[in-house]
Amino acid sequence: MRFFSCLMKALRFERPATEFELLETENGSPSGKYAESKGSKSKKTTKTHVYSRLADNVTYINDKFCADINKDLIVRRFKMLGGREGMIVFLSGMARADTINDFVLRPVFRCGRDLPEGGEAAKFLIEKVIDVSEIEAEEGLEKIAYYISEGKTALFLDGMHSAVIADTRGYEKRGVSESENERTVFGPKEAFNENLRTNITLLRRIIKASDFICEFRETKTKNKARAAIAYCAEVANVTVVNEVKRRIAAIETSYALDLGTLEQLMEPNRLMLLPRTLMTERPDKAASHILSGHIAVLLDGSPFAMILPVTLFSLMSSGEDTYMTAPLGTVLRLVRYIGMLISILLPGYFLAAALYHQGVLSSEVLMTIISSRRLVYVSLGSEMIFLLFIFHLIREAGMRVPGSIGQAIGIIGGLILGQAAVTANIVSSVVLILVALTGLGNFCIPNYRLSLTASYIRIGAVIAGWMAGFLGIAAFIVVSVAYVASQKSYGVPYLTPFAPKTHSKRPFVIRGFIKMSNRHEDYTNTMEDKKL
Amino acid sequence: MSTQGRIGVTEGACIFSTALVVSGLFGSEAQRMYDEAVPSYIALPIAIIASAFIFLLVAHALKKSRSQSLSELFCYSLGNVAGGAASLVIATFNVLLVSAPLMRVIDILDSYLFQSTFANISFFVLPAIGFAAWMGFETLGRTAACFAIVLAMSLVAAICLSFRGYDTSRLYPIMSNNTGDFFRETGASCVAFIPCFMTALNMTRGMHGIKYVKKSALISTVIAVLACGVTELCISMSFPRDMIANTDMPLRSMLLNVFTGNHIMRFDTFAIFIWLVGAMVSSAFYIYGAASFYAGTFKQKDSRPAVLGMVIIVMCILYTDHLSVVGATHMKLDTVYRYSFVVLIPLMVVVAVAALIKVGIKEKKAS
Repeated sequence: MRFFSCLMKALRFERPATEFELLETENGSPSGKYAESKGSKSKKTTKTHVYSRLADNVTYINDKFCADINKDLIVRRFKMLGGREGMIVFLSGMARADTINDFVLRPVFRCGRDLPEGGEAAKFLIEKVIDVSEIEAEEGLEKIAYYISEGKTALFLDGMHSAVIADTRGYEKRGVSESENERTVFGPKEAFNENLRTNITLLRRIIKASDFICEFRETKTKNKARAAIAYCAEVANVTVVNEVKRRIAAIETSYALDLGTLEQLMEPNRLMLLPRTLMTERPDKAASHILSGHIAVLLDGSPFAMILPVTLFSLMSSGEDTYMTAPLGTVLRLVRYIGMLISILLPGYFLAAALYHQGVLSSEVLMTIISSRRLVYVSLGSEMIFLLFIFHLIREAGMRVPGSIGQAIGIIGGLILGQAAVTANIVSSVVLILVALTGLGNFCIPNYRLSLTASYIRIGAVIAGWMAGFLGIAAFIVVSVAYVASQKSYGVPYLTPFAPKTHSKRPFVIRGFIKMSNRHEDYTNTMEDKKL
Repeated sequence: MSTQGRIGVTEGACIFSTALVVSGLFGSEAQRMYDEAVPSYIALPIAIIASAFIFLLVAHALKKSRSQSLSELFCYSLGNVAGGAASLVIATFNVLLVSAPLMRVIDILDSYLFQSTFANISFFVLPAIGFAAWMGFETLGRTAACFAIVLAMSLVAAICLSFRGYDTSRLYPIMSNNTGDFFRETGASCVAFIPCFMTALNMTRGMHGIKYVKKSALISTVIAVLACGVTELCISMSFPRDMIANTDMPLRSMLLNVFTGNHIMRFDTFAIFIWLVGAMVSSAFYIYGAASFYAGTFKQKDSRPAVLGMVIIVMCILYTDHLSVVGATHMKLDTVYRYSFVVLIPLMVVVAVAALIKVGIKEKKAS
């Protein structure tokens, strides 16, 4: 019965209820189906309020943080001048001790007799006593516990119905360093790090616009991962923004430590082969996309920004293109696209031509192939797949092995293994050169996840060419292009602006001139397009 | 929202022109025209233009009757039962138009390029076509937009590379004495083009309305007239008439005719596979169209489940006709083709006129 129901489901197309469609007539108004009022408001939960008795608050905090075994939690009880009891609670290592001592404890001790009774105490402390820039009163104990986990300090007083939360965060974090995976010759060298506040600061330094919004959202995960949705309010499509908020609000899982995990949790189609977002560790790249109407999602603990929606052409572009002149940028892009096509199609084409359509190749090339394969005892198809697998092995090994040894892996694999394999008649030199060219073409793809996808598609092309020559390649190309054409990233078709063709005159393969006036991407129906 | 997705004018023009050109070059009976001394480079463009006129007539009726698709127009004009039957007739023609170009291309592959059987070749081609058709109209339009430029360039390259072999003296006499043959063959050729236009009319929901369908169709008409006319003219200049009549794929032979001894000589192999891709995209469009007519007849919301059935029907037709070529049966597809315009063209005209009359009567009553 289960098999039958699965078969019926497969034969009967049902659009999943959560699939997001960016309608071409959508004007970005929040009154549509994915309006904020429907999707992204957090559910009301019952709150436990701060107890008026200090001892009850102590008990709650100790139970909440398992204070008997969790020695990071510091509960500092004190008695003020005038006899009133209080306590501060913070996590050692997350809060800065100097700030607590100088700007929280000392002023509180000094103000003892002036402190009003009851609920007015919190207001008095915030307005007149504690010298910290970010400070607020909070009544919910759950929220207070979260703030303490963040590195803030909670101040409780006996008889006070709320706690004063002072921002005393001062944990160790990595500084702003150079990008490791997205190097450019020209352009900024800064990269994001794991601290959300630092990353937002890096973006704000570039986007000095008053409409640049960073909305924070907490995921319903155990680690309470905090995400920031960054966009320019006057440019971004509100429907897409609301959809992002809705998807983040719908996440319910145990933990989400990284943006890669968050992206998969936000995506309804879990079997996606193509990346639906662009992950970048460069603030300039993220800022450029935000300014052109995209949305960036950042996650505390992840040194990347997730840009959406994206297209194939935006994944193939690099920051280097923009920092060069138009002709040089165009040549770079064309080399990249040719590299990608070579990477995907060359091995399959060679197999098809060598096995089925020898007439396509000239007699000199045929003689070279025959002479190089004269003593090789494996079939051409097996040899090709074996070498492609070895290429993947070398690449993975080079990435996992640290530092200088990783570079040596490439030399060992490329020179010694390859040469030894040719000498031992396991592979032929022609196929080895082809696989090397394929690998170089693969490295031309600037997006790592897209290059992985290209690698898997290449294997399909090799098998298709091996089985049926150019016929298999033709069928495979039709299937691949149809699949890519059917994909969408947050409602935007993957091959935009080529198919579908949009109104924008901005070129997507050839690098246009910078002074072309409207540099927004029109395929997201940005608010600026509506005004024009 | 429509489950078939939506495309714009550019994608629409790409998919319709691909279907028209593939039908014209590989789906029509140009060889028979040469056999009867009918100039295909005149007959085919006229057939395309005549089909476009029928399309405009039916589109006008569609607009006046405020029907959302051609299936609805059939039901409006002829009633539910007769309208449903008419939808199935168009679906049948769509399926035939899938089969005809595929048969020709697969025959060439089977005969010249592969040491394989017809069945094995079909096994590679039909699943890819079925997959593309299954993905929907939106995907088909975008896929066609991706391949349209490649197909156009391959056609232009084929024409340009063979220019040394053109001899205008082979065109004479331009028309035979029997003009009846000319009109009959032109009419018969319309069968290769009308289903494409009718499928376009069934996709009005997927193209934001009849206005954009008309725009795309007219652009496609111009492209198809140019492509088919120029290509057939070049073929006519490359070979004597009696040789073309006995050649399976004169377009390929044209490429083989001229060059020897360098790499460009082997462009014919690439060209065949590029045309195969074009035939696959066009076939996917016709299969999707047939499925949408079927779904319209039986009031199904989504036409894609019918795609699988249509693919199986096409496979059966391919095998049946192949068997007939090797003498196993006597059923030949071109027999159906030759005389079916007698059914198809009057059917479309009757539907359009009936709808317009009904609309006129309603408007008179209302006023």
